[in-house]
Amino acid sequence: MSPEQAALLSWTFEPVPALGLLATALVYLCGWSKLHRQVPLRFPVWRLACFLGGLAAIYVSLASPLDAFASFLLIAHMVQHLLLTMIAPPLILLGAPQLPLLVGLPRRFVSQALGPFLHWPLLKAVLHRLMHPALCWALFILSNLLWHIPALYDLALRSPFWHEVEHAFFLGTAFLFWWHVVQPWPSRPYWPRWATIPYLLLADLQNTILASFLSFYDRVLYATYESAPRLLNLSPLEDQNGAGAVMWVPGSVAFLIPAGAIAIQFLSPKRRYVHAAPPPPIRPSRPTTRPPFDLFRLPVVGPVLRWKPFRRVLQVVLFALAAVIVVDGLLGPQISPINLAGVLPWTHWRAFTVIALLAVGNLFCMACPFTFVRDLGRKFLPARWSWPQPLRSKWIAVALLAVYLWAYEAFDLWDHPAATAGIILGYFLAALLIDGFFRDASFCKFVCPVGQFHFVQSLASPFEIKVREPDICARCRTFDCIKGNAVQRGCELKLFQPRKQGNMDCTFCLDCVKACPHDNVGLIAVVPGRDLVTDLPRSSVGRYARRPDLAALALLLTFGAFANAAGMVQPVLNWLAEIAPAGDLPVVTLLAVGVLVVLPALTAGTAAVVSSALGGGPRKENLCRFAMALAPLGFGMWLAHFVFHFFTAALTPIPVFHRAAREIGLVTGEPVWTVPSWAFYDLPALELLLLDLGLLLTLYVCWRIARQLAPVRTFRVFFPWGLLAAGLFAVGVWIIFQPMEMRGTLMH
Amino acid sequence: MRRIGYVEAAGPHVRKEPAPMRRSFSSFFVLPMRRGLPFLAAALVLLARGSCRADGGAIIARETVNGLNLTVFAAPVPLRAGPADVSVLVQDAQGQAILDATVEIGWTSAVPAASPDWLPPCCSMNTLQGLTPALRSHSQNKLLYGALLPIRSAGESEISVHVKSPQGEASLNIPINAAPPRAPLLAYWPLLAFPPVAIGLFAVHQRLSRHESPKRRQDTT
Repeated sequence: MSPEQAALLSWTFEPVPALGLLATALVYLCGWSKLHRQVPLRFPVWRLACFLGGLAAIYVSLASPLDAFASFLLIAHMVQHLLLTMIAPPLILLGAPQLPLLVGLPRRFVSQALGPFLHWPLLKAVLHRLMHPALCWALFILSNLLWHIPALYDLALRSPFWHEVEHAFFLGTAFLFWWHVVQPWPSRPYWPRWATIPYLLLADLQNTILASFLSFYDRVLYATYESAPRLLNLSPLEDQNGAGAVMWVPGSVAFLIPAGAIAIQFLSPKRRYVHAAPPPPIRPSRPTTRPPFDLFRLPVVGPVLRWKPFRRVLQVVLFALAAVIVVDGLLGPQISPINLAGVLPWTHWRAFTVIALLAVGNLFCMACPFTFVRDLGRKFLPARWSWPQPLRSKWIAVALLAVYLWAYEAFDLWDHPAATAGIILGYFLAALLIDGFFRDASFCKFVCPVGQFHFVQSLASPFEIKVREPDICARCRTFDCIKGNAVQRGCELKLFQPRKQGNMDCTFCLDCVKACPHDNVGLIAVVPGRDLVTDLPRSSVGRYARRPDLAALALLLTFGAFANAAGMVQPVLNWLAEIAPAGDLPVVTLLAVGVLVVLPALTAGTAAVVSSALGGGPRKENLCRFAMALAPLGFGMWLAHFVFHFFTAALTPIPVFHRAAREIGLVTGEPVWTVPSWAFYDLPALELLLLDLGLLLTLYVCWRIARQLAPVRTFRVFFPWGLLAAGLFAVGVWIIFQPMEMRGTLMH
Repeated sequence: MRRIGYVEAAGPHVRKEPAPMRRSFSSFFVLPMRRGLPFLAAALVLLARGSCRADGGAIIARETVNGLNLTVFAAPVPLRAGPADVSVLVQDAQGQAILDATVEIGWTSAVPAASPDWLPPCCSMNTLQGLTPALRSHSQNKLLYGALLPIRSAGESEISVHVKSPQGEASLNIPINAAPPRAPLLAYWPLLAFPPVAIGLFAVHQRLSRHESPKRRQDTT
């Protein structure tokens, strides 16, 4: 490859600007297409071309070889700046982007989220002053002059941060400047149109002075270019003079063309439309009530998900995997990083399930291998008793979860493959016995700790098994979704679709989907956390306000998320080693009780008491509803934690599988234990982002609940819980910044 | 006929109609259109950030060794403990960039530190002292050989560059004085500032919505 070819290939892909510009283009395209249908004369095709061309100019200036060579050649840097100041802003503004962008965004988002800001008097006043043509002109000129001062220019070349600031200034002030030249519809001019001509000519004068200085100055202005290696046969001075010429000629043309066009427009006689053909009438817009996004309606994904044996296939695959893990855990080497029972369940399975929860919903329960064994067992076992009434709550599951979280730390379960295998076997046995003797899905609903984990975390998932058309359900008299029919059983968790809300207790088994004779149940996109905001009576779940067991479950899983992650960071491990040098069981037990039981009870109880005292209302309802609202924050912490382990140890199962296969004679050769890690230096940034999103969703849900409980004294009701969430978030940030133990890997 | 607020939108032939009592969606937003520009500019500027980077940052060494001109760039400027973006330009005596060389870079501490000043997010990353291959695919500028080099200690240390090419071999040891690493709170400040900013905007939004609601009620009555 020649250097010239290499230079031309020096493009980069930066996801944030690339995807951001793409999203902007899609929003504009969506809005433009609607407006083009309604008012084609106002939004012709050339506007679309201009807008997309402007976005393309920004991308070219930031991702093309121009950026790669900006620190070597002033000419390249100058062309880059011309694209950002002279080409992209006027093109984008010629696209009259305001209305298409607003129309292209979801209507509800625009009216409810952006609407109040667009009508904010303070913002109006500030923008009115900022948009004054004299100020826009001055800011554009000032930015152009200041950033060409050698000290600032060299600073931008040395530091990526200041380079970004420089580009932001250029782009921002150029938008302000060109606004008054283009006057994108439907804005109104501040000054008469003729004033734009001196506005442009004065700007050109400044450009000419600066360009001529660069062109004729006999010393190199910028030290960076003086010391940069020469890539072309251009001396630094020739490069500088060339950059001056680029600034002068194309720069001036960019000012003079619009000045000339405006002058011609101004001097021409006014066009009359008396004899012109009438424009087409405004067409009505399409109906805006669109059915919500349904995953089952997708071309390939939908049929696969609804394929009748699909769930069984998933279950068989996971069952086979569980069997392999159990066998290796019991018979394989008892060193967790080289045993499948030490690697797969604790690192990969947990990460995949939380990622699935984030992307879709409770996919693990859909593929649950324990229910597969249970279904097999039911062919021989009676399964006819009802689950005892006093046990119809989550308290058993809460206790089991607490025991599991304690045992994980107390006995280092992750480091004992045989114990891991034992737990899996115990799980299979429990599912088989409980559901073998009791009707419906008693194990899933009342006992299974893994299921409860997924039920709670799926409250923040973006999809829900839900009725498509409520009217169809209103006419239904067979209720197959819950009762089942001759070929398909109904919901074993007793979730009656028309009254089901949210993902609580939903295993995504799709029984209701297959049973519904009207094909009226879908996997529908919902706003994450929406179920936490409302508190209507839910089928088989009831109101959260009356479910202290669910509140306890949510609190345990939220505090457990932080405790589980904190148990792996170095300062905590050092502290534990000091207070319990030999892994003292009573000390660890005491700590577990403190962190998983006492602390949640104390902090949440105090928050509920204070919140009720400040805003009124029953404490129990306050506690139950706000405790559920903490679930998204806990989910954020689980995600941050498991994603970290997944990225660091993504490929570790490969040599472990190799070893296991070699031991049974399937393959030969030594496993290569040194596998590359997928970790990257900005991994903490990803973890922080997940935690941020969890916190914001929790705070939003808390605020909405507070508004429902106390429409007048909302902040007082919200404050104690907001404080608790902020405290947990601070703990999460501290955990993320600590070195974390590499469990289940050979990395130390 | 659907009303769109500004009747000019349909062209000059459409008869102007009195504004509807209940503001339609478009009229609701057409009025504040002028205020949309700074939002658009801010959005585009935000999208633009993060992309403009110059490979390598500042030149930390430029020498001719065995007939090869080596220019070594490093970022951040000034260098500090943590991952450093190091890139190398290899040129022959005529200044022509050499693209088929094998380049390796490494970092060695002058004084073996008992405990490093900086640790990567996980110890599995290749941060042991040794040579890291620098590749052209790692650089935006495809004439440069680049790699992320972890500098684990602040203070005096050395970056070594080894080049093998058909034109010859060259090695370069560059003394550096790395500053202490940035505190995590400073290094990740945008992500830590995100929740307070979002909360602030939400608070303003709620306040504005509350003020707007009685006004709307008045308008409709």
